[in-house]
Parts: sequence; structure tokens; C-alpha cells
Amino acid sequence: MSNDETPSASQPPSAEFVQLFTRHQRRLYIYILAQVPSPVDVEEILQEANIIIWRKCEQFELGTNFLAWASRIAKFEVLKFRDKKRRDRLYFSDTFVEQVADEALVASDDLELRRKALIHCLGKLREKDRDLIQQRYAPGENGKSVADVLGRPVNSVYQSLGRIRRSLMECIHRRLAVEAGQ
Amino acid sequence: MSSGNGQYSELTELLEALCDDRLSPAQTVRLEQLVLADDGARRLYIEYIDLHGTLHWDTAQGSAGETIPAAVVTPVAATPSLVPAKMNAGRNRWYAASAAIAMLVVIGLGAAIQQRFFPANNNLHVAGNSDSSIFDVSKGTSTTIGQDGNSEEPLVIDILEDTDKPGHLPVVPRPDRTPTVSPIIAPGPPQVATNGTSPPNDARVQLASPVEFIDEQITAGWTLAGIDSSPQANDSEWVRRVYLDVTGRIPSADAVDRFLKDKRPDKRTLLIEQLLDDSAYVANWTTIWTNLLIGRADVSENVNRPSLQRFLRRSFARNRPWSEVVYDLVSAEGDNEENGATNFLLAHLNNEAVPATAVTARLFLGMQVQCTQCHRHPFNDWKQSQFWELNSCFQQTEVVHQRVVDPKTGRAKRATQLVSKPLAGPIFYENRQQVMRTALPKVLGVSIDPGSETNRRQELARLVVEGSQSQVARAMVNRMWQHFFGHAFTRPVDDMGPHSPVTHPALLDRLTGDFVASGYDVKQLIRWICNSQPYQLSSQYGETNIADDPAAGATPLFSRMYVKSMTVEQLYDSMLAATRLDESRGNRWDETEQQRRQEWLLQFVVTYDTEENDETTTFDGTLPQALMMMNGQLVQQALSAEGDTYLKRIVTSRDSETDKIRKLFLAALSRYPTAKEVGTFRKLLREQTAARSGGNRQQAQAEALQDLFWAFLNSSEFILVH
Repeated sequence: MSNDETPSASQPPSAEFVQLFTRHQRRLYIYILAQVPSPVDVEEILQEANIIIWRKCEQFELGTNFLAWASRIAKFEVLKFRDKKRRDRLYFSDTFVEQVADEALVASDDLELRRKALIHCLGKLREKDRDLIQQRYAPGENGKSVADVLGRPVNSVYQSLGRIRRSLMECIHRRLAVEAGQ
Repeated sequence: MSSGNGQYSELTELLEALCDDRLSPAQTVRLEQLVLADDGARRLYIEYIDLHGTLHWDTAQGSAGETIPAAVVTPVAATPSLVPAKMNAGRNRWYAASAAIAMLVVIGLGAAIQQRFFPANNNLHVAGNSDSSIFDVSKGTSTTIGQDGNSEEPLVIDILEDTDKPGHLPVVPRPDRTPTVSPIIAPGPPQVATNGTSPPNDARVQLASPVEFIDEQITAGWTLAGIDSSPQANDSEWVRRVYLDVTGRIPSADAVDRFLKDKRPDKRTLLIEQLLDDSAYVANWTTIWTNLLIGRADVSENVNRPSLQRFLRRSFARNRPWSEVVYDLVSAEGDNEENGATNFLLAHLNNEAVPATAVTARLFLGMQVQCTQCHRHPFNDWKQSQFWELNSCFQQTEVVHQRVVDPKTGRAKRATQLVSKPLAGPIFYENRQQVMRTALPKVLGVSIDPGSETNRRQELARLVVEGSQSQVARAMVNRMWQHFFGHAFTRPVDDMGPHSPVTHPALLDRLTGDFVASGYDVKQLIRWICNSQPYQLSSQYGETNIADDPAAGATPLFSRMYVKSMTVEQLYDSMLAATRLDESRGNRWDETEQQRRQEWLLQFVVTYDTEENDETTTFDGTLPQALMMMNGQLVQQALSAEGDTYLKRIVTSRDSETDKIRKLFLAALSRYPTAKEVGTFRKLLREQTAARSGGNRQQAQAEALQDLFWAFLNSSEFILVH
């Protein structure tokens, strides 16, 4: 693509940048989700961040840490979002956001391994449980809507979801422990 | 300590609520508290969020009914440099995303950056398994790019304009600087040196002092519970308490008298300072930590008790930062005579260092892990693997015996050394299913390089004292609080896992932070506690706070001083103080005196041959037991009116009968008798001496006073710390 051309303001990003950009989307998503607990809001923030990341692509030096660079932008978008929403909803405290953001970045490499383990662990779920999780996480769905569809009491659905997530967490942990031991 | 896997039960429950969007404001606050409380919790939070987020992200891909127009895809497919084209049955979202962006590049940036780069359709059979959907959804889906309303959003946000707003981080890296992870991390709470140098502390200037904070937090607890505190303890009650707590023995009669007559308004603060400088302070904390570290009884011949005591004595005398003391104990190497710190681990390396693991976790990290050694514990956050990961830190350590020639005597003697061998790799243990598992060294969620180059204990020692809220600091604050107030913030004191509710979490956090910030200054921590309002309270409770009774299972609110039993050591040292035998016996570090004390104490110690090297004292502060004990040689000697004893001096002095009674009260109970008490005891003396005359009368009075003193030393008022 345009790697060998002198970058300018109007220059589209290099192929490598595009690759980095796409590869880090989910990590940015999780990074923001740790600070803003609503997936809908996170999507909004990520979108804003993506626009900036895209615009500022020339400022990124290839070969340096993309996640570190992009997460700064994402972090700024989180701050803006929090400022905007502070008045109408209860959100996490500044201290909390600061700390978990740090942790999310530190843990970021590890999270990729965890995702692989998650794929494995979803395969180990009972079919019924896997279906429930899939329904719950389908776009626009939540525990309540799934409960309505299934005709189950909402609390019992919450309980099931909690149990399944818990068993996934444990399975991931076991899986990683086994891998680490090998 | 847990790396987080669903066993922090309260936290996990809150996380579940969070992920289903049903967290109340109060629960949000609690969640924050728990997450900020320790690294393991923070880690668990991230892992849970990661699970939640990944499920959202990936599942959304599976059913989004959007399409990427084939025409748009084409130019990307023609760009082999983007992604290595490899046929694959699975979908690849990243490739799709790349495709989408590349397409955007083609059709112009302004068109859209979609909120999500939704997955490819089946036309894009490309690349990396690693990013195929977590659900193996076989139905093909496609994405439309640039069709949603957001795509028209103008790209006018200029970050640079915002960067000079206070509180906002510069977002765009300077071109001359390589962006790294660290710059995005805003300066957090001051990072605190653990090496004893006091760090700059400007962030705290406008905050309440630690003492004020204790008062605030504890008082707030009373208000919430709707109780009133007990009144302030009178000077007699308080002076005895502070002597026992800080120096491990009761004050002498003279010291009590001086304090009671002292009219300075800040005399309590001044006394605290004086006691912290007293050699008895050093002796007391040396005793306390010797008992905690190696127990009262010598179970292993590898342990050189006097050498450990020397190490502790120097540490407390110089008020070395607690982090350094812990570091020395955990990482100690060498000869057990030359390096006293080695004796801690030398006492616990039996049974594949299982006791070393358990005791280290309990004492320094406030975590009880011994049960998790064999199985997962229903109430404990630790997993079996974590126990062995910590245990693995001790596996390089060995005890070596040598015959050496004592340079002083020229005779051969046995020398015991703690050495580290360059062992590498994991250790093996059996899980509950009898399956062999491996564990690599890991502590507080941080892995330690398992290579032979690494000294694991040094790494362990370094890791546990890291950070502004280190677990070592937290455990010490909790232990100190318990020492002075009789109850810790958690129950028990050394089980601070997330399953143990903390009575005053904000206070524990604050004191932990301040303790670290002070450079792990143990005396400073004691100052804060002893100068606080709750420490001034009486142990008498009234109607208003009768409910504040932790002994009955209530959450301690510290609205009064809870009564503690003396330890055997406190009792021994207090008897010496009361009878002034400590003066005639000379230096307390004298070998003979040490041995005498040790022998006396051991009457009450029972050791259990368990894997945790447990022991207990049979001394429980009950009167019958005290009585039994009181008839021993020590008391005989103390109460003897023969020779140069304190009792003899009182008995033979020219003081009035009333003054003699007063002095005995001061010596044993640290208070003046009430008028009624004086009356009663004078009457008693008269009755005993009435029948006699002359020299016999003198003798009778001496015997009566001796009985009186004996009774005081056997009273529950004497053996309780109140």
C-alpha cells in the first residue's frame, strides 16, 4: 500500500497500521469496558476513540506499542464520556477507574490467552448452558429479555448466568494452569 | 492472593450483578472497595470483565444481520500484504475488520468508521484460528459498513485542544517520544519507598491525620449503629493498659503514682512517647514476634532462639521499617547464629516447607492457606494450586549442617545454615483426584521466573512488600489493631481474604497506606493507634453500647475497650514488675534470666505435632489456673517477706497502714484503692493482728499484707488487660 510514500495529513494509513488497528479492537473494547460497565456505552466510546485513532494514524510510530498509544486515546474518550454522563447516572469513582484501567493494560497480554481458553471452555459447557449464554449475549439482549423469551423467572436466569460464568471462569483458570504447567 | 477465579464470593456476586446491569449504588461502592482492596481482586475484576466483554463482542458477531457488500470486499482481497491469505473454514473477524477499513480507505475516510467491525461473511475464508469466533457458529453473517447513522458524524474532535485541561491526560504522544504503556498511567497515589526513606507526602497534606481519621471512622460506626461510646477511661485504667500493650507489663507503683499526679494535658501522648523509647518496648515486641515466628516451644533443633531474638531486638530497637524486617525474615540465608533471621524458616522447613508456606502467608500476608494445601476450601479464596505456587518459592531452600570449630573454645560444634540451591522448574503435588499437578512459583498473582538463576525467596520477599497498599502492611496494621483493641478488622486477624468481611474497610485502607507511606514505621503506627479516641475509652460499658460485644459475635465497633487476658509473658513480666523482682534480677537479656522465664512459660505451652507446627498455651486467664500457677516458685519468691523484696520493704516501712495498702494497690492493680476498699482491708488487717501483741503483731501484719498482695495478684483485675 502506501508505506513508502511520505505520510501527510490526507494520507491513508499503512497496511501495517490497519492490521494493528484491527487486531487491537477487542483489547480496546475490554480496556474501556473495565472502566465503563455498560457494553452499549463502551461501543459508543470505542467508536469515538476509533475515529481519533484513525485520524491520528500518522502520529503513531510503527514498531512502537500500539496498544499503549491507542489506549491513551481510548482513555481520553472514557474521561470525556464520564464527564458528560456524570450527572445523570451513577458510575465508578475516578480512583477506581484509574486503577482498573492500569490493571486492564497490564493484564492485556494475558487476556488473549484467556480468550483461547474461553473458546475451549465454551465447548465444554452443557449445550443448554451454552445456548443460554449465547442468547444472553446476543446483541440487544439481556438477562431480563432472555427470561421473558424463556418464560423463566428473571432471578433464576440471573442465577443460571452467574453459575455459568463462574464455571467458565474456573474452567479458564484450570486450562491456563494446565498450560502453564506444561 | 488469588489470581481470581470466582472464589472471591462476595466480589463474584457483585460482578454477576454488574454484568447483568442490576448493581445498586450501594453495591457499586462495595464493589469498588473490594476491587481496590487487593491485587487479586483487581485481577479477578479484569478477568471477569474480560469474560463478559469477550462474550459480548464475539457473540454479537454471530448474529449480527449485517452484510458486507461483496463489491466492497474485493479490493481488500486483492491486497495480499494485509493478511496472509490462508483458507480456513472459520470466519475471521479481524480480517473482516481489516477489510472494512481498507475499504474505507478506498472509499474515503470520512464515510464511516463503524462502531464495530463486524465479522466477515463466508466469502472471506482467511487466516488465524486465534481470532475465530468463540462460538463455532456456522451460519454465515456479513456486515454492512457505512450504513448506520453514526457514520455521518463529523470528525472534528481535536484532542490537542483538550490536553491542557486540568485533570486530562495528554492523549497524543509527542512525536519525539516513543509511546510506552507507562505514560498513560496517571500519577496515582504516591508510590512509596519501602526502604525506610520517607517519601514526599504532599498528596496527604490536606487530609485528616491518621489519628483524626481513626476517630472519624470509628465514631461514624457508632452513629450508624445508634450507640454511644463508653466514657473515657480514667488515668489508672489507661496507664495500666498502655503499659501492658506497649511494653508488655504493668507499670510500677511509682510510675502509676507519677502519672496520676501529672497535670499536663497531653500527658497521655507524652507517656506513649516515653514507652516507645523504653527498653521494655523492645523486649515486648521481641517476645511477641518470637512467639509468632517460631512459637514458644523449641520444636526443631535447627532453631537458635536467642539468635532470632537478637535479630528482632535489634530490629525493634532501631525501629527498622517493617518491610525490611519481613524481607530479611523471608529471604534470610546463612548461619543461624550469625543471621538470626534464618531461624524463622529453619523452624518451618519440615514437611516439604508446608509450614513455611502456611506461616508466611498467615503472618505476613494475613492469609490462611493451610486448608487449601489439600483441597479447595469452601470459605477460603485460595486454591490448591496457589498454595503450591507459594510453596514452590521455598523449594530452593535447604538446611545444611556442618561440623565447625568454635574459635572461642577450639571445639567442634554443629552449625546450621539456611542455603538456597539453584533449583529450577515446577514442583509437583497431587490434587484431590490423585492426579499429579505442577506448580511454578507465584505470589499475589505475580509469577516468579522459575529458572535456576532466580532466588525465589528474594523475589517473594520483594513482591510482598511492593506497592502503596502492600499486603504485608495491611496484615501488620490489622495485627496491630488487634493487639491494642483486642479485635482486628477481620476475624480472625490473620485471615484477611475476601471471604472475611472487614469491619472498617476505609480505615484499614487508610492506615495501610499511611503505614507504607511512613516507611513501615512500626512506632508511628503504634502512636496513631494509642493516641486515637477509641484507645482512650473505658472498658466499662453502659446501657448505650452493651450491644457492642464482639465476644458475643457482634461486629466490633470499638465503642469501648474490650477486655483482654494477659498472655503468659505479660503475666510473668507483670508479676516481676509488681513485686519488683525485675529490679533484683538485673538485665532481662541475661541468659539465666531468659532461661528462667522460658522455663516458666513453657509450663503452659502445648505443642501440636501438626503440619502447621501449631501450638497453644493452656493458659487461659481463668482464676483456678492462675491460682495453681501462683503457688509456684516465682510467686513464693515474689511474696516472700524475707530478704530484699518489695513486699518486705513495704511491710517494714514506717508508712501508715493505709499507705501500705495503697502501695500494694498501686503495685498490683495500678490504682489507688477506693475509700471503701481501704476500710475493708484495714478491718481485715485489724482482725488478723488483734489477737497478737508486740513483735507478733508486726509479724501478723506482714502476713496479712502478704495475703493481701497474693490475693491481688490472683484477682481477675490483675490478669486482665482492661
